[in-house]
Amino acid sequence: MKKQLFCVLCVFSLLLCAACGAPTVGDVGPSQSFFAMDTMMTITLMDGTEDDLTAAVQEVNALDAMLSRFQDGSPLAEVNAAAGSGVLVPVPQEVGEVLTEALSAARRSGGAFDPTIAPVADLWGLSGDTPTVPKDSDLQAVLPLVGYENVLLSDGGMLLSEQGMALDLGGVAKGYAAGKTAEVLKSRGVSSALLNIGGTVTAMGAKRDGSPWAVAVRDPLDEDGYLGLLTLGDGQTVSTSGGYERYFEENGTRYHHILDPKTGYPAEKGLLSATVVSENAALTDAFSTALFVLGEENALALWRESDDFSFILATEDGRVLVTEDLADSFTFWGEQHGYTLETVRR
Amino acid sequence: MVTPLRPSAADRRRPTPWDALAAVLVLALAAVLALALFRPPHNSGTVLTITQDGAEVAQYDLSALDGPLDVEVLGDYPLTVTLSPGGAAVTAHTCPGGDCARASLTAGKPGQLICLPNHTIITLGGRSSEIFDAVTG
Repeated sequence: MKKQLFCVLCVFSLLLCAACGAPTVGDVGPSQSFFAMDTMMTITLMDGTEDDLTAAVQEVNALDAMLSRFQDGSPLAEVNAAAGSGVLVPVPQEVGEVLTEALSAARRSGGAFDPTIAPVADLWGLSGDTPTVPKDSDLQAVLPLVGYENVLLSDGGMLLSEQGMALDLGGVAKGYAAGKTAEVLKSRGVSSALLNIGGTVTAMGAKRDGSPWAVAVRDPLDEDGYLGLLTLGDGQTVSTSGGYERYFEENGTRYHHILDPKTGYPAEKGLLSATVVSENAALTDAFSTALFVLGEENALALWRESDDFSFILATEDGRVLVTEDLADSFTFWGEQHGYTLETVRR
Repeated sequence: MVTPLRPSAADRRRPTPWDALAAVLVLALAAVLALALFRPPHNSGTVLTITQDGAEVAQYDLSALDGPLDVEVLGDYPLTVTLSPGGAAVTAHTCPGGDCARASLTAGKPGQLICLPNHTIITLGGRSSEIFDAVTG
């Protein structure tokens, strides 16, 4: 009896010790939130060190400085300043890579995403503190300056063929930064991390318990609600664009920030938000904008002729369209918010 | 040689009531510790943290408030967050576009208010990692 009592006490002691050392739910390694690229970012490592985290943050900040068109002396600012001069402007390799991704997305989307939208965006004042609706005549005057076909990228540098043209890589920079930073972490031996670059989220590996990283997709009509839960595999990135993210109101009308490069006005194609999943982080970022501008029908056509991305679209008439390749990784929560789920097939 | 009047504890073959009491005390202690370790953190849904430029600047337990409390967050675009036992909301702001004013938090429901112009993040209830790890959109 005495021995039995002793054994029971030992087992309880062991259980207590085990409980003290057990990882808790959400147990993570180094993590840091910071502001860059005009948004908030959070990088969380599972198996890295503080030095790895610092290297990741430094990578993002370096790309931010390099890819900002508003920072005097930045490579992009110099390219824009030289527009129409006929002179190739040498740029760092990273800037060339981002532009390559941006031009590819522009070509594939038929110009629904266009990195030369900057003159129109400036007219709307979208980068400043006081956005305003421009005169239509002014818009028509600058629209000819929008055209990715007029960007030359070569080994010698970049060239914008028309004076007044300007590049804005904001629509692809966060995705590129996510992918590039993941590469940096991987080269340092980090195998498990989550990079949230302003809502563009890249997964590396899985969580400590082996489960995949899970990302909630925001309900565009309810900032506290979610359309569903998406699990990401190793190397996958998800990005979402929607008119609800940034907007202003003038004379009772709401104007959002996603401009249609063809018209110069905010895109109104019946979508509330467009979410894209891909292993190409830069493409994910650019295509979320492109699909929002394209609308349901053209987005579907682009997906059907591609094999490197998937999407989730929320439509103004209350449907959530999910491509069949996401069926196993997307859990629909939108029913309680009045949405219906539709799976689209090739 | 002196013969003890009672056998020593080591020599006893049957547990006494004192042994049973000791066992009960240890088991009770184990139960209390286990509960403390495994249950969710106290007030996990009511602790509100304000960070700015990545650094924590203040933390409040909403459940400990008697009534509304206005907290001013300084910076490039100062804002006022009104805290109450029921939640938190931005009630005054100077940010362009009013982005920082369009949100509130409800006690018991983890979430974040993000004011980009003022580089401010207001987090309620810590990470919501039991359900998801990040939000897109």
